[in-house]
Amino acid sequence: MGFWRWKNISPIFSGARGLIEALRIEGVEVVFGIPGGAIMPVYDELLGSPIRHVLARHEQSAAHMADGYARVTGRPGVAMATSGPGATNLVTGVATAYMDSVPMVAITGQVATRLIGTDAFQEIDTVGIFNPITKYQFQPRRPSEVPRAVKAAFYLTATGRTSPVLIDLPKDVQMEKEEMVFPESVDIPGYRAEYEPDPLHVAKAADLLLAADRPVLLGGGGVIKSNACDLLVAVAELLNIPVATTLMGKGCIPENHPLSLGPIGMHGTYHANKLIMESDLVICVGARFSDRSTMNLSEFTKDRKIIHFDADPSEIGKNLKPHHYVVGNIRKSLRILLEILKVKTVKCENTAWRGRWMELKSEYEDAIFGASGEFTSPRIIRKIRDMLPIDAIVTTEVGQHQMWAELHYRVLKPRTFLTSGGLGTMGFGFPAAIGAKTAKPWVPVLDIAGDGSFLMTSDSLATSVQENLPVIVCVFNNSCLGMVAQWQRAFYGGRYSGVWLGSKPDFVNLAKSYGAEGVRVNGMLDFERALREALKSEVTTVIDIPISPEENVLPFVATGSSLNEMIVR
Amino acid sequence: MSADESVVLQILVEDKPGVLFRILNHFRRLNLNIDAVTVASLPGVVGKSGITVNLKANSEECSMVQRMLNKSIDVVNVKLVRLSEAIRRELVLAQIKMDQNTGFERLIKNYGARVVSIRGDTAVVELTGEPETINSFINSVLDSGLVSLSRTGLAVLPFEEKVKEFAENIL
Repeated sequence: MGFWRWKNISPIFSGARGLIEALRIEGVEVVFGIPGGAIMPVYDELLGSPIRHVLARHEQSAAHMADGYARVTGRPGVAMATSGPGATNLVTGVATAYMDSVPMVAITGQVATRLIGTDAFQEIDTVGIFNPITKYQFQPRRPSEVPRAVKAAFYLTATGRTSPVLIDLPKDVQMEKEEMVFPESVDIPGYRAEYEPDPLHVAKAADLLLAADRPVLLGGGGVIKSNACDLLVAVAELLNIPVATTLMGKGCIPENHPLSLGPIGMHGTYHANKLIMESDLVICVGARFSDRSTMNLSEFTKDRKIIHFDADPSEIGKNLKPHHYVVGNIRKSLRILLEILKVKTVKCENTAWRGRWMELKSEYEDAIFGASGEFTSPRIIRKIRDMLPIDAIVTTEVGQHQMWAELHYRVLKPRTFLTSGGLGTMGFGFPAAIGAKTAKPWVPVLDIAGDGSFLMTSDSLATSVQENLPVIVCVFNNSCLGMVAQWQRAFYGGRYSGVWLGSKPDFVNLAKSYGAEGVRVNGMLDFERALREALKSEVTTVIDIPISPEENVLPFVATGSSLNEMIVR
Repeated sequence: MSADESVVLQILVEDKPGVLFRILNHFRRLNLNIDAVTVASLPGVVGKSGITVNLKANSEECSMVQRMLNKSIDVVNVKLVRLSEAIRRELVLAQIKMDQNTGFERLIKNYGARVVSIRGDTAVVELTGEPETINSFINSVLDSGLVSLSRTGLAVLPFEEKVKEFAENIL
């Protein structure tokens, strides 16, 4: 079975069969989705194929599952839905993947071609809707166009700057039979999958780096996506320079590494934010200088040189004008950089700059973490890290708990921390955890959640139980939309508007009603016991952790402020 | 923020359905108002079309939209043309009632327009020129016998520094 079968012959297949065969050729193991009228022929073909189908309970969750699968494996996730509401429900999940450059192929059914444009039942302009949130959209109009569309979709989604791609398949195209050719490759004239780094550009970057007194490396999600973490760490170790990350870059250096500063940004670590503002050179690798990372941009670029390494040429100069840049595959660029540095330098020893950031690091530990009480969110998150194995996967929802995780959960391996950084999608973490578990059933997967976020996709409990994909959900339950409440305390004089989640389910019984486990904890020992049980459990466990609604995420850089102007109390 | 100036983007794209929508959607996202857009297939270049977009934008907006266009899968090549360095031409067809326009012949002569067709007392006139000339011509006939008109939008050709093969030039 597989590609070899169709290599020298052109079989006559329905569009649906052609789609499934093409997915198998691409090595797809699992699709996440929900069937409906306009995609039934594909679901019928799925039945006879070895591709696993994981039934979501909402298409948004299906997309997040495919997203979680892709972030963990680096291979495209596949989400499937019917036309109309199926497609529109996918939108948030696909947009989440788009903003975080995650490879994903979204497949939607569509009404028959003769009905397109007639406002037929469950017809919507899916291609039009997905245009701004996907790298490309395909709508094969003949069955024979299906194999090329799939080949091109997987090529586009997984190369260059990875991003989701849509295949919208009209029902008549799924049903009609036609002779098909399964191409081995596709030619897309306007698309350049990869840029080769110019060694001269890299050499200049190396010179600037060696000339700097107080350099900082800034690693973004692009380092993880291009599997270049080892090289980034090697560069840092060679020169003995500290590595800060963005939220998406968490894990590009083990966060227990002596050179790791943790993330910068609105809720970056105290020492990373302070130190980057004291540096005279920042080498930013695979990050896009988002407003949440740099905060006040003119302060961020003042008094320091910025060197930007990126795989996507359109990122250079988009948010800030770097002093120097290198466009090209991150792994290749870093390899050249490392070779050049090895020739030009010997391993750097302790410097005053190193002393400075060691000093800042301990200051932070004492000033912020040390002051908090016994059973607080930061301590619970550190406890989670202590109890999980090194390769365990942690996902987050969006809100205060996410920022506590950013600050206090130490990521030790790349692709083990999944969070919605760009779009900031509440409800992402739980289905993404299920997707991650599908990819790696042998590692524990834990979702750090808030009560507000968890309620948005908690129906995925049904999926996790039915599909035997046990994950752990730690609900940091403050009975409110905590981050909005924190902002209302900080910037709106404590006038709370629309943030209290008064009437919400009992999470323990909610979990149990789906056949999952639920447990409420009070105190650290209780939590430890619950997590230990959950790690052994064969079903999903929801751990309800009541926390104070008054607890703030600190440090905190207000919008418009510079990174070193942190609110710490 | 620099001042708005009239610029032209020459965009070489794949010739297939949906491309113009994808291209123009970038301008929509940046709230840019397009003055003229033309699409034409290019003889000798199979499967590609040239899109010429004329708009007023500042340099930040230009660079942003170029960035987006370059990233578009359908786009093979984008060129920003400075109008000061290019030949600009536009064509207008105007249907004019001759009996209401006593100065009809003089007008035609002044602008160097050409009568393409005459039916009864109505003539269809063709004029090619720079957009300012076209505007001035339209203003002249607006109150004197203009029945209908159609203008093409801008075609531009920048001066190139050296002679290149046609295909190399656009690819």
